[in-house]
Amino acid sequence: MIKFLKTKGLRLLAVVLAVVILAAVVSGVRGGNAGFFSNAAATVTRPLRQAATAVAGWLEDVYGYLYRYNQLQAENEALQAQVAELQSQLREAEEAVEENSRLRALLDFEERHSDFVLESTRIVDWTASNWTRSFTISKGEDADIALGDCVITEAGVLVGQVTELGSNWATVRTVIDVDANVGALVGEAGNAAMLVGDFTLMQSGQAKLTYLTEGTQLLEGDSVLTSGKGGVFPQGLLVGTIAEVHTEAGGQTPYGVVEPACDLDNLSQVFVIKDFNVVE
Amino acid sequence: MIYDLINWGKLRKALLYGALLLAALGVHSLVLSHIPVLGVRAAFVPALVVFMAMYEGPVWGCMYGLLAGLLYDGVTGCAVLHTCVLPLLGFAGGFLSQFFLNRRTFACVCVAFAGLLLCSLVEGGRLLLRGDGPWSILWTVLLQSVWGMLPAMAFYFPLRALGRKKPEEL
Repeated sequence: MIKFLKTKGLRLLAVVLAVVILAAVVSGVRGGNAGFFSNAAATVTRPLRQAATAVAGWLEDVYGYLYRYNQLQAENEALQAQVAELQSQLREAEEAVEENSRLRALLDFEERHSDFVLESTRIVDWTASNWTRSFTISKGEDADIALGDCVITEAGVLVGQVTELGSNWATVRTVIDVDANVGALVGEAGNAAMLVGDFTLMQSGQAKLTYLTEGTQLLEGDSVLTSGKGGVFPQGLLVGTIAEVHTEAGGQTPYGVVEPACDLDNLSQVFVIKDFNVVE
Repeated sequence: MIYDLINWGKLRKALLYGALLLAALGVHSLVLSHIPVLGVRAAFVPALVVFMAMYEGPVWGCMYGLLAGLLYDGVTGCAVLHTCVLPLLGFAGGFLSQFFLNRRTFACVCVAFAGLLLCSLVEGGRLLLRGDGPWSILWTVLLQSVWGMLPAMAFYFPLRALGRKKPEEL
């Protein structure tokens, strides 16, 4: 090898230099287009460069992940808090929409009954007993609510009556409670009757229409309205409809099973009628 | 001097019984009253009065029943029914354990169940006398008592542990 370089090394160096100079000249003449050598070199080194780029990218990602982890965590927590706040706002908005529709219905009702003085209130809790069906509302004596006041829904459907009173709470006995007693009018003819609570019916969310005036014909689907007699309840409030007609144990006296017009289980807001014009 | 007048052990014991009663009322009004099983909610507070009375005797049982009755009436919306019934239950439970019964778990469970049945029957008695459907009332009495025994047992063991401790150990 040494001998070869000593004898032909000068000639080999001259050839190599000549090729390099030629390549440089050709490259300059072609004005930026890759020449044969550059092309060949690029083709050979491309996979290596790609691998190197991929490794570098991966290392950069790892570095970025480690470097930005805390930042991303903080950002994630902030976004989670934001989502929770937005969800809370959405719930509030949904509640406001529901309340709005209730108040709109109440407005229609108030226009028809301008003599009613109403107090809006919310149901706080239902009584924890199997023997009664009553609930507590969030307003009481301080809001001028009195014992015996009538409680309705936004649509003017009778819910019950105030039976116990505190300064900022009141207990409302519903129309299906065992102790409920409401003077009623039934059917198109408006025959007088009494709506009374019955334990068995209370468990299925219903009440009993009894003490019917003679000749009253009860039909399923008939509306039951308040009679207004006695001045406790305003006249003409919807209580419910006749769901079934039965006869008492003796088999002579008929009575109706009344399905309340309001869904007691899903009530959240009710209205207390504090004053109204009594129709004699 | 005044410090010596008070039996701190007994006071601590009474406070612990009071705390258990408040916890039971909380469970009743916040949890169980919202979970009707077959349309009937569990009622178990009278059983606690019986358990306590079985370990502490008729006097403590009567006083505990009075306190429990006052609070329980507030929760259930009754006027004075439990204020009258629970002291009697407490007295009866204490009296039975003092003279006739062993203070064993089985005896306590039996007396407590009888107490629950009696209390439920008094609650529904007015409706029975009025003539409302007797079978649905008796069914409610039975279910209310049976469901009530389950949470009552959860409170039985802490009450028993407390009842077996002497005031000076507390």
